[in-house]
Order: sequence, then structure tokens, then C-alpha cells
Amino acid sequence: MLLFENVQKQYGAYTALNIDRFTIDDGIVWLQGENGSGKTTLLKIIAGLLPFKGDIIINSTYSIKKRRQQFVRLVNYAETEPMYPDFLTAAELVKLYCHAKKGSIQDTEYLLQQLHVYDAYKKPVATYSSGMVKKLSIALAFIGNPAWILLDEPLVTADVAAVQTICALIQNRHKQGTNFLITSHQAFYAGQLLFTSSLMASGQTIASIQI
Amino acid sequence: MMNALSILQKVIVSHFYKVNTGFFLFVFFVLFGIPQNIAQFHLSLIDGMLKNPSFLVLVMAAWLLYNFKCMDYVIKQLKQPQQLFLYCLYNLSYIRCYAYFLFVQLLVYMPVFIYTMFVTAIAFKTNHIVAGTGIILFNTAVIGTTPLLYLRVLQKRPLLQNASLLRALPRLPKPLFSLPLFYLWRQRKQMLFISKTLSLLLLYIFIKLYQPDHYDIRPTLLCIMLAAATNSAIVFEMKIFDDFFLQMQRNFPLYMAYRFFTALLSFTVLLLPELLFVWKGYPDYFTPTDYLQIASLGVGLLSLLYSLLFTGDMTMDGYIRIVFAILATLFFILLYNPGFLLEVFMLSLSFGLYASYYYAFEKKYD
Repeated sequence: MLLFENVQKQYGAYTALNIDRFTIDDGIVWLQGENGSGKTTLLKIIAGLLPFKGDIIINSTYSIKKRRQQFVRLVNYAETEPMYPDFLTAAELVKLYCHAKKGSIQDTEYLLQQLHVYDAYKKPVATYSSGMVKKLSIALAFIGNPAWILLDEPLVTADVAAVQTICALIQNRHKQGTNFLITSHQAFYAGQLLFTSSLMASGQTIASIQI
Repeated sequence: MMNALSILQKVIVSHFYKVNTGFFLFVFFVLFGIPQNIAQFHLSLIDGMLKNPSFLVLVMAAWLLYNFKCMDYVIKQLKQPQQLFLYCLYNLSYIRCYAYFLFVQLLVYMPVFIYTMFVTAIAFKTNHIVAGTGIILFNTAVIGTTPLLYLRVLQKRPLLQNASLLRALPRLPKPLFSLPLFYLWRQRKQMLFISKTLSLLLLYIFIKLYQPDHYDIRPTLLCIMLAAATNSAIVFEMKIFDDFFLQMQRNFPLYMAYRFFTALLSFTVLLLPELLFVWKGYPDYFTPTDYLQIASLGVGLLSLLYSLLFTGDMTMDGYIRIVFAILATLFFILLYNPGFLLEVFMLSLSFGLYASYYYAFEKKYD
């Protein structure tokens, strides 16, 4: 469970988010909204990438403001357009993430095999296509034992086979107890991904909506 | 042909002088604004070059550094996506393409070229034939070979023949602290090369020219402070790298002390050439205990500059002003030699700023 308390995010004079009090329950949550409605900003502040006013509490235990290390250990994030130092290989990134997030290199390698990027595992990211970088970012987001995985447009640039694999990976990981907050402009086919709830970002805040 | 030359001049040459206006104003001010008798100053300078081969080599090294700056700029421009249309030039004959880029090279190298013409004229007039010929050969090599590199870029060929050999070498492990250094090594070679040359030259001149008549650590501390400060632009570049490519590390569950320690490790490795070179001055210039003070002053200064970059979204101009203000302050403090207190204070202040602003910092994109 993620509890938002007086969360405010401003870019200069522009208020991107203003959430008084809101709770996101565990599950696979679809965060929808128009472009510029604050979806990415919301994910980034939960992941600890952006400063903001207010607080977010995970599982009624850890506050991002008071116990940041414990908080971010429980939250992983994959960006819409991930950027990595182009001289690093996937193997080096996996090692770095596994060291920081206390994850298993073997498990991640297996994930990359499933996503069909393992062939380029030891090649620099500079040689990857945007789709491969995206798949790598998703695999990196699965590292460790996060309570929440935040995926920003995970299906963008993914080919048809990858969409199926990514949905299956999300579904399987959720069965093991990990929650997902996913933004996607793409519609999902029935049964492709079983969302437990849906949120709408609009008017600088978020609200629950019917799936 | 005139059309192609005009386009090259607009997109590469004019822009080069525009972005480097500050640099040229500074150099012009130093060479022509500060000396009271400009002609006498330059005649003495040229006389020194022509009579002292070591000095001439040093000046040639400075000209070469300028050429590296030009090369780096032109190559980066050629690689810009908006300059992709320039690749159509490669449909022309190799000789014609070479001629076009020779024109570009001549224009960007022009300030040095004009000065060397004067030096060469004086050399032949004063019968310094060897020096004069040396300068002509140097210019011919620099102006003649650099366009070949531009053509390689245009052909999308690697600049180094042994680049594939380098790739074949085993990859070094890349812990978090090393990432900014690898980035500098791969993407900012010219900046790294210029900064290191300047700082090592500074240390070399200091050790060569300053002969202490009694033991005093202060001149060495002042010199290492200046040598470390030549890395200021590199620190700025490391912060840019952090902002663009290492944003994900904010999501890593790392303690602030560990993050700061990682940054200190980066700066220590960055300053390693200076910290090793300074041993040339042992034992006349410092004792082993004072060496710790020397090392911590260098690392402390860089960490302070780095931490200050988190306090606001600074431009390079604003940052350089802060660097000068800090150097001026440190200069007076070092004259009183407060010992380790200064280094402890600098490191504590750096950590305080870093810890306070690290998560509050946000890069603003225009």
C-alpha cells in the first residue's frame, strides 16, 4: 500500500501534482491520464528521483522523507525512455543494480533471455535499439525484492512477442507478492494483464476509476 | 564550391567563434590587454621562443592544445544530428572534400596561424632559421593532417586505427565511483587532456622554479590548490553526467555517507596524476605527514565544488565565478596555514551541503 500525504510537486510556478491524501492499494494498478497529467512525475517522486513536498509512506511503515533507504529498497522503477551511460554493457548494469538492490544476477540473466536481449548482454548499450534498451530497463526494474515496481509505458517500442512476455512477467511476479503501478496509453486485450484497480491522473491529482 | 564553403563557414566556423567568444576575449586580454608595452612584451616573448628550444616546444604544445580544442569542436559538430546533411559532401571527390575541410581548419586555427606567421617572419629576419623552419613544419603538419581526421568522421570511420584493438582488451570492472571517470575518458578526452596538462605543467614549473631556502608547506599547498582547480570544469562535467545518466542511482538504497564516499573516491582517482607527480618535490617541499594535507586539500576542494553544484541549477559562468571566489578565499586562509583544520572544515562543509541538497536538487530543463 502506498499512502500519499499532502504531496505537492511544482515545476517553477506550475503545479504538476497536488494530492491531499490518497491511498493506492496493493495489486496491479493501471495509472491512466492524458499527456502532461502528471503520471510520470508521480512515478518519479515515488521512485525518489524528484524532490517534492509532503510525504509518501509504503506499507504503513517507511516514509520516503524519514527512511529513504528502506523506502527505495522497496520501490523499483523503469522509465519511459531509459538513458544509461552508453559505454556500459547490460552485464555491467545488471551487476551494478544487483549490487545496489541486493538482487540475483542469474535471475536477471534469465529474465533477459526471456525478453530476447541476452544475446547482446556483453555489448555496450550504445549498440542497442530503443526496444532493447526498454526491455533492459524492465529487467533491471525486476531486480531485488521490491514491494512495488513502477513501470512507465512498459509496452512502448516493444514488439508483439515482447508485449506478451512483459505481461506474463508482470502477472507471475505479482503472484509472488510484488505490486505494480503501470502507466500505459495502450489498451490491453482481455486477459492480457489482469489489473486489480485503475487510477486516473487529471487536474493535478489522482482518483480511482472503474477498470 | 562557394556554396559548400559558405555553408561550412556558417555551420561550423562562425558557431565556433560564437561559442568561444569568452575564451578568445580572455586570451586577448591576457596577451594584449595586461602588458603595458604590447610590442615590447611580444618581441621579448618571441625572442625567448627563438633562442630557447625548450620554451619553443612548450609554446608549440600550447598551440597544439588549441588545435585539439578546434578538432574536438569540429568533430562534435560533424556528429550532431542536425549536421547530418554534411555527409552529402562525401559524394564529392576525396581531394575536394579535403580542400573543404582544409578551409575549415584554416579558419578555426586562424588566431594561432596569424601569430605563428609573425613569429616565423621574425625568426627568418633575425637568422633563427632552425626555429623558423620548425614552426613552418609544425604548422604544415597541424593544418595538413587535421582535415584528414574530419574526413574520417565524415566517413564514419573510427579516429584511431587501433580502436578495434582497444575494444578487444578485457573490460575493466566499473563500480559506481568509476562511472563518471569512464565517461570523461570516453566522451571528454580533450577536456581531461587539457586539464591534466595544465595542472601537471603548473606543478612542474613550481618544482623546477621554486627553490625553498627553508621548509614551508604553504607554497606547495597553494600550488596543489591551483592544480586541483584546473579540474573544476571536469567536476562540472561529472555533475552533468550524474544528472543525465546516473539519475537512477537516486533509486538505489544507498546511505548518504556511502554516496559521498563514492564521490570522494572519484575525485581521488581523478587527482591521482597530480598526487603522484607532486612526489617529484619530495623531500624538499613536503614531509609524508604534510603529503596527507596536500592530498586532502585537493580532494576537499573538488568535493566542495561538486557539492556546491547541488545547491542550485548553475550555469558554467556562475560556477566559474564561485570557483574564483573560493580560490581567492583559500589563498588567504592558506597563507595562515591552519593545518588539517582547513581540510577537515572543507570536507565537513562538502558533506553537509551534499547531504542537505542531494535529494532536493532538480535539474531544470529549458
